[in-house]
Amino acid sequence: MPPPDYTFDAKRLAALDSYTVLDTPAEPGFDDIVLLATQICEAPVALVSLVASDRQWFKARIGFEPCETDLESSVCVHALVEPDLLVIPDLTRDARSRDNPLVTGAPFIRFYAGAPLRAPDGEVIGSLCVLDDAPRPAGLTETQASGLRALARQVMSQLELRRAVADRDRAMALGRTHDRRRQESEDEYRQLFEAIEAGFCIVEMRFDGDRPADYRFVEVNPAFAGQTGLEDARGKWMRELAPGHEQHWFDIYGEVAATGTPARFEHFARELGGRWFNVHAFRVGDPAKRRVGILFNDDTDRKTREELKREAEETQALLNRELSHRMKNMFAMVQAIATQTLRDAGDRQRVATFVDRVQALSRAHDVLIARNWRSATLTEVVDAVLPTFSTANSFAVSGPPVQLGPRATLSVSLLLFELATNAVKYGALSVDGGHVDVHWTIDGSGGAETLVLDWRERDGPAVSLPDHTGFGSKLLRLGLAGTGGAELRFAETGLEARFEASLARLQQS
Amino acid sequence: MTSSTAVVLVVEDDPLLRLSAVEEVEAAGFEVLGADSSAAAMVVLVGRLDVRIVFTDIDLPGGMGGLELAAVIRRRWPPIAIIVTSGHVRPDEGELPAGSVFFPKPYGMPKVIAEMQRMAA
Repeated sequence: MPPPDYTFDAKRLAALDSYTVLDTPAEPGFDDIVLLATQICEAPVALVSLVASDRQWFKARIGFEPCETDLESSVCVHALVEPDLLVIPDLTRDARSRDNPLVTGAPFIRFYAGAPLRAPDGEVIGSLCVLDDAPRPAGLTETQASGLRALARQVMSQLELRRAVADRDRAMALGRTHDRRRQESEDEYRQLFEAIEAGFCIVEMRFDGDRPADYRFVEVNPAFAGQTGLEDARGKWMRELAPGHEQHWFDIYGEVAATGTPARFEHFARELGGRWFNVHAFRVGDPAKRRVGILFNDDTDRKTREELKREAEETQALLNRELSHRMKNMFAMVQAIATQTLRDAGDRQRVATFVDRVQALSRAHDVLIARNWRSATLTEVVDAVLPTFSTANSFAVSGPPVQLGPRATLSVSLLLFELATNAVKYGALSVDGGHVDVHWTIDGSGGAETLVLDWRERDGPAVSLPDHTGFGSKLLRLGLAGTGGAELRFAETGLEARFEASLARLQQS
Repeated sequence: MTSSTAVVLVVEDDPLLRLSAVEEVEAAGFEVLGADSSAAAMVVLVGRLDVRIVFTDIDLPGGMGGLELAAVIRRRWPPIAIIVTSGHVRPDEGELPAGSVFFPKPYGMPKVIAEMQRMAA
């Protein structure tokens, strides 16, 4: 007869699996039980048979050689579905067992009595059984039956105990692993804490009402003393270590402790060696403890470098002012020499023009000195030259930002000065209502840009070509960069001039 | 030029600049005195009560600069008109005595003289 369906019930098999006992070595507790079973039932064979889906496996056995059999050879499968003991007095006469190979062949078993192994959830995972090689028409005595039931319960207790111990061992092993990891992790943090060059400490704030009054060092790392100059700070209060420590330190840490918002800042500490500190402060642990972790670095070196840089810049600015001063005095002397030298030449007008040009050059130098002699913008140059003319508001100036190198700054200044002078003397600005448009654009792209500057006089008198040989005229023809590119047209309403020069050339130093 | 007889004191430590300024102002018809320091200027001012205009550089040797000189003149001789010049940056408004005029170096002498004529008028 095939095994009952229940043999393959998933919940039953899961219950069996939960004990993780199949194929484990023999254990004295189970061996003792089968010994007692043979003695109580006066039978030569006793087995703790656990029934899996493809075999029955014996956790303990007496008088029986194999440690397992297939289910065809199992009588115990039929015990699985019994409410109580299964007793078969003569196996050759029972439909469930007469074709069993262990009955029809060696070892020719004839009697079977099995008590179900019932797990706490009700599932039957096997049986504790006794076998005999002779039929027992009377079955078991009452005493034997109750003894076998009691022993079956003992098997289950052993299995439960075994599982509990395994669970405990696993939990303990897991705990040990966690402990070890936690220890490793703590060791690593401790090493980090000890090794970092940055100072680190944990402080506990004390408040007077809402006001942060003091803090005590709970932890300090080895770098702490070197960074702050405070020895053996651990456990001590800051006010006792540095009575004059600035209140803002207490306020900042108090704020961090109260709000949990981290703070990053730089500050000076007079009592800590007059040093600058770069600080990161953050709340640690239980907010009620008001503890703040403080990671900091002595930043004095960087501050000193910044200070030095600023001093160097101030010195440079001073030198620039001095240079400017000397240069202007030099221009003044050149003017004085020229004026004195030419005073008898009879042409005061030429002397005045010379002086004006020197002044234009002087103003261009001013622009350059303000920019450390590197470069100036075209707008700065225009603003330095044109406003010196009393008719300054007759100029309409527009154009994109353009950088000029030092040479171009000077040449463009002289050019604009010449144009403006001519406009005032002879051109649009020599009459009321005349005005000048100064407009520039950048043409082209990618290193081949050209600056195009247009000078258009409007509403002035008709003018003719000035003396070609004059210096002013030559200056105009030199153009923006001193290389030409000047186009002068004398229209009805005044001069229209266009100047073009390579931007790259204009930006040369 | 009714005012051409007015007396102008030029205070400039650089001999060439002083010479040139003195000659040009003279050429414009003024009577011109020169001084190479504030101290020398004070000696002139104490001795001559007819100085009408002082044209002074700011950067002068010795303890007293042109701005201090200008301040003293404004206090002791309020009627004297003052023109200040310098190669340094333009002084702040508060540094110049009230009513004084500033010309940055290098100055154009015709403009300075035009100012003097206005002051002397």
